Amino acid sequence: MLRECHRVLGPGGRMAGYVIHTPKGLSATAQRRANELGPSATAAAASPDDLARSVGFSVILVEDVTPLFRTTCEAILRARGEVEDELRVAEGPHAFEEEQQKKRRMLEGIDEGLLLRSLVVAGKQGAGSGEQ
Amino acid sequence: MPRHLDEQDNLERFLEEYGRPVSDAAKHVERAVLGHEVGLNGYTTVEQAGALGTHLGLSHDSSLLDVGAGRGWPGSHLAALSACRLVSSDIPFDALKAAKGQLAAGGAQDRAHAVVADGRALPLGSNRFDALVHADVFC
Repeated sequence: MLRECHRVLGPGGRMAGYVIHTPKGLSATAQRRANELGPSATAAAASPDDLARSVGFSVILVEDVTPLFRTTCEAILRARGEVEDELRVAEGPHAFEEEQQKKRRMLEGIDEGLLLRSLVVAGKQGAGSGEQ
Repeated sequence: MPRHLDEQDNLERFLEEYGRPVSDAAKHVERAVLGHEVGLNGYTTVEQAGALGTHLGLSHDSSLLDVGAGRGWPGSHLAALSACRLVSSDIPFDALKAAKGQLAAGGAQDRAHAVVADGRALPLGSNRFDALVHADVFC
């Protein structure tokens, strides 16, 4: 997907986004645990900046926003609990429980230091872009 | 593009989730925590979306691609702020329809297009965009 992003972006263009990922250098066991707790695609072993570089981007900024990610996750869990009855009807009881579990697992992963969220800004080299 | 079984499972979940109307309760949660009511299941607050726009340096002359746009967040927000041109891309058609609704509400529908596409094979020309945005797509 990143390769396609690089292709469609013009020279000197920028890509910015938030990425949920694992820390660098996790053991195979820790990576498996992270995969269990995080979103389905957390399996990528490389860090988001390394992945961006691997398809030709220059990385301009990587900012760890995990503390706010944790706060947000916790707030979603709490807010969903406050309207639990309505959500159980709207989503169905199974889907509601599944979503709550997903958020709890995410919090566990953050607290265990296995899941991070980062703001990544990258550029595509081009005339006048100033990117290296 | 061929998909693995778990990918297919995830995709079916996404399609089912985006096919459901957004309940008032879900909107309440989103508004209370993230500061918007787009109907998404993500973690990007209004402030964080604004930060993306700042880093991209968007203006009314810019062309922006939102990859994995879902119901249009954060691309539609950034298009409304900067008056840039926007293409939203994702797989669930229902989500992109909702994204168009967001843009219409913000008066930006004339500058916006949606493309149903897998991000691994975008049906878009090379070197076409000035900026690209995503939120929790490359997990």
